[in-house]
Amino acid sequence: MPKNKLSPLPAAAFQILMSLADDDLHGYEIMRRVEQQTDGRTRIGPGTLYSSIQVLLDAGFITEVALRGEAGSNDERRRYYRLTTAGRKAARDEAERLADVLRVARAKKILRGEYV
Amino acid sequence: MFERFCALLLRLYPAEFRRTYGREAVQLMRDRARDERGVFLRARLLMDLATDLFATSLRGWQAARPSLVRIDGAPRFDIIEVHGLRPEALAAGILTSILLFASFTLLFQATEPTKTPAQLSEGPGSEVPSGDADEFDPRAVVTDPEARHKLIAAIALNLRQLYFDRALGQQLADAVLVQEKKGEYESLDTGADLAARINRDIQAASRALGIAGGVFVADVVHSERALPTGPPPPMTDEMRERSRAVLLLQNCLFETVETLPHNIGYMKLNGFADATVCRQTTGRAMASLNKTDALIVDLRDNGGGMGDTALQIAGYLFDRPTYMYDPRPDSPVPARTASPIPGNTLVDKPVYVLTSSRTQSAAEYFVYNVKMLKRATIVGETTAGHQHSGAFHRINDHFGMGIQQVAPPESPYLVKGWEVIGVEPDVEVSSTDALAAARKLAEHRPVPK
Repeated sequence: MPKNKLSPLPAAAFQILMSLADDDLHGYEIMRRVEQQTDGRTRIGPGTLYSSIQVLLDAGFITEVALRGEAGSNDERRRYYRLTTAGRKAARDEAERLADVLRVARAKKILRGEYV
Repeated sequence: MFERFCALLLRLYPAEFRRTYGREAVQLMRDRARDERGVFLRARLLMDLATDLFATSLRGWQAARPSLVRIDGAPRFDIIEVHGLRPEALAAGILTSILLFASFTLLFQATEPTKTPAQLSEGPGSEVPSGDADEFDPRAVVTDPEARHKLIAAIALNLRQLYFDRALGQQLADAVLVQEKKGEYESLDTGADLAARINRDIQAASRALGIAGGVFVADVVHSERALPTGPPPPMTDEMRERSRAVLLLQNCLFETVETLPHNIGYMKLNGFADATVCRQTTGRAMASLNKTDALIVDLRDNGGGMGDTALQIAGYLFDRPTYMYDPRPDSPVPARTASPIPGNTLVDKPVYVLTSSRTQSAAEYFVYNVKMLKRATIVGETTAGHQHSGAFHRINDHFGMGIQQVAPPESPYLVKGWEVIGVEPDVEVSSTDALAAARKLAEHRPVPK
């Protein structure tokens, strides 16, 4: 079977999947979580964020959970997203692919140390 | 004031994006504006927005949410409207980005431009003609070379940009364009002929590219009646209640459920009705045949419907949860039957399924699986060969095409699906003779030792 367009996983999609590894999050929380996990290097704008979310929804890697408001807030109800089993597997595969790249980089002495 | 300015900028995003995620995008910018105060942070926010707007405008926004529609009462396709990139939005995006970049570069010399994350969405169809009726008069497709070329170019573009494997999509598109160049589409008389011929060429190219027979790739559709331009309005409670009442009145599409001589169970089912309405009726029908010695399932006039009901019936044929292959990438139907079903005694009884060339879609899903699992003898004609597993894209009022836009699950069987090829019977007879043939087989079945 030919590979699809999420293989390998694009960087933004990978970051979004990782941000959802622990919790269901809405768009802004995903953006913040991605910013944290990349030490502030990546802030995903609304266009990239929601187009990535749409592709991940289409691929079945994430799913939309019921709309809800934030506790103690008067905000409008928001769409929350949840990582699916397929999404978790895709993120793991991508992490392993990156780990392989790191192994090669270390072997080639481009990168030093056991862990990065 | 600042939030209003952000909201104004968001208006420059492509219309499809605003329709689908506009409210969330505004909320996201409002959240950032609430948390990021001060000149530097506000400037950074604007810079992020400008960068994102620029990137989004360049790649367009084509990932509209698929929505289900019915076409002429046929089984469902997903309809995804193709929207072109609005030139004014692109121009406005570029201009705004340049102005903002220039301003903030001057104001914040030390500020590094934000890196744009990798782009996911290569929007399909930006060059697809708009589907304007004048441009795509179906008669003109036959008579006017330019109109025909535009239609074929739109089909090729869809293949290139929407088929889930871009490299194969490119080759499929090239194959269609080569046929056009050779003049193969010039002598056809009708839109239906043209669609059929292009489909044959797509099929031939698919085989040449190593895509297995039976796997859905793409299907050009011609309709005399105007294709719908969008999804139907959501069902109201009243509509839902009426639909439920009609289904129950029609006995959930069970035309006949009876026991024939020699204790042979017979059910004729002319469609798989909504399981949320008909689960109990289906259960009662199967229970009424529970004590029979053989079962004939007549799907000769079954045009498909809901896979859940097909799965429910299949559940009575197995003694353990059994995998039923569904070619749809995001199928809502569970992958396995709910077997064993308490009190059911049909699991070891011979089953005969009657088919015709009208048997299609969800009915073929049932036939294909019970055949592959060697759980039934198929008696009758080769089925229609319509998986309906792709997303449908309207090209104009009379032409559209289904495309496998997401990689389908792979069938575990040697025959990989039933698109175009249909499901072949084990005992080939005309559909009118199928019942008599199946009854004879059931009456003379080997007696278990």
